[in-house]
Amino acid sequence: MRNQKIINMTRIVIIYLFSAILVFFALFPIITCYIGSITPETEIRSEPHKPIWVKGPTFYYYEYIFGAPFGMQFTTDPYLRYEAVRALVFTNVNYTLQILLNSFIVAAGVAFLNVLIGGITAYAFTRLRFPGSTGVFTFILLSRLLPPIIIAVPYYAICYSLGITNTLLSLLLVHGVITLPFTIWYLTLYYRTIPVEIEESALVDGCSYFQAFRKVAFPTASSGLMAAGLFSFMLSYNDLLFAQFLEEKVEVTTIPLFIAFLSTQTDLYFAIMYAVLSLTFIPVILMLIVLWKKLNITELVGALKM
Amino acid sequence: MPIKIRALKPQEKTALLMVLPAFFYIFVFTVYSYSQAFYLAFVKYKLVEPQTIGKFIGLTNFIDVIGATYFKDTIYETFIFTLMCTVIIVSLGIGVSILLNEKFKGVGLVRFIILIPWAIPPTAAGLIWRLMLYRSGWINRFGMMLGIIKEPIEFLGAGRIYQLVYALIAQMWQQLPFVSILLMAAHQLIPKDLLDAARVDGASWIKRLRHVTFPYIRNVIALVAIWEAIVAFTSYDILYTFSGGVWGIITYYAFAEGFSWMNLGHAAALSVIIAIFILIMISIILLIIPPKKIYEYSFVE
Repeated sequence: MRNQKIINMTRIVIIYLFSAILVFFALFPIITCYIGSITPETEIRSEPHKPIWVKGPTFYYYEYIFGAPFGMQFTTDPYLRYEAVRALVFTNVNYTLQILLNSFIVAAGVAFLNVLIGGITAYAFTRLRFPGSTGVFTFILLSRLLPPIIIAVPYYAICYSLGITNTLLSLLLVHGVITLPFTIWYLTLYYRTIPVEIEESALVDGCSYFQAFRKVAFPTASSGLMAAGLFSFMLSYNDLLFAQFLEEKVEVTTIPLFIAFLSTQTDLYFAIMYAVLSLTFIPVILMLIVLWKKLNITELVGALKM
Repeated sequence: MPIKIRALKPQEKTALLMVLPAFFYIFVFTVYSYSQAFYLAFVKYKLVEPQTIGKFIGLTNFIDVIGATYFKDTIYETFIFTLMCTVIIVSLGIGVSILLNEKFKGVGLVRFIILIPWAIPPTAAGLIWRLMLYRSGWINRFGMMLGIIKEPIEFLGAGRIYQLVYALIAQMWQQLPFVSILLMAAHQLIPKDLLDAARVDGASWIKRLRHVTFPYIRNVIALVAIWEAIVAFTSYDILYTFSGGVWGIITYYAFAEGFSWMNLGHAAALSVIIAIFILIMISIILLIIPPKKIYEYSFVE
């Protein structure tokens, strides 16, 4: 029995050791962003053996991001000696809040579209039998597998001829297409977990099939619909490729595009980058917390049975 | 034999009305776009030479991009990157899924925390890891603080293949959670009594893993591996910010040809080449689970 105890102890030690490594690997890069965003630029750029926060942390960069759009005057970075080259970065950083808002508008629109269209379509696939269902379902699922880069060129041509480049609408439409297949797949799995009896009794009571969906199934599935909505929100919030060729003006930029812009400047402005990154994480982590409570891993299992 | 046409039942009518909007929405965008991409690959489409746009030039676009100076290296790097990503991410994912399937205090929290990088935009992931690897970045800083390294390491001054390995870390950071979660779900498929029986019979942990767990999750591993290969092959965002927008794998050049060098014909030709590779991978997926099964498992209890 003593032997058994030792085995158990080592098992626990090994499990916690590896868990600690995993948690460190996942969180360390994110934590460094928050540290970097409150470190003066000169100290981030200093040789790695020099200490940071010599004069203490600074909130200058956050003040700049939140203050500049409201007319607060920031002409120079007190922590830097070379100013002129940063003019471009600085003028665009004025738009950070607007850019965050743009990302939110597009992502929320995509989420709404997904819940509405995806909710309806998935219901039909789960509860109703109709000719061609296998073909349509497989088509919708597989359409997601070809990479978005292939759509890029023709989609640009479509938007250009419609004159909707540089609008958030063009982005919303294309994000809808790339997120819908997943939503439909997830929701078909979700509807299966809801008992069919209530809808059947609604049908017996004289509801039409659509009414049974709208008045019974749709409200009951709210939790799954919310998960699907959040999921598509995140997919849209994270997309760079489509934003990159559709949106050229800074007023309609989204967050990934802005991060890409900051990273491609020849003269990198570390502290501003860290501050923007830190702000980017907040909404997705909040989403993830909600999603984590809604999304049950075991629900996904059904799809994997083979 | 004449085709039988029968009146639709009310159920079928409703179903079609519900499915068709989504179907048309996706159909118009994807099928139209794909066929346009295919068509553009065979015509001249240089935005800087508007008078020649739309002229049919056969395979010239393909010959041009295959002959381009970047093509050979890019294909080579793309395959190396895809292979490394798939092998490393999937094998680590298997390890993580085994670990997080154990029952211990705080497992829920660990599962949640490792999921965070997956939610973060890939663009951000690429940039974070570049900032980590700078000369004055956090790896050097903490390494020297703890006395592990004496001199700062110039990670980003290394050759392209090394850079790809570093980019792989960013890709892994972003993709590992998803792979682990899917494989964890697969573990739930294993019948509990089977594992218990093996334990009672005295099979060691390794033997249980090898003879009970593995056969059950083999298919899922294959699927996840192909999915990861597709993701790595078409990886764009992470490499874009990781490299500061100066290099990337094949998708980067497809984008650059079209939107930086204004030659949509070349971009479309590259997209078609990418699509061919992806289609091969998709057909492997379909060999593992036939379409009928995809539908059935999503449909039938």
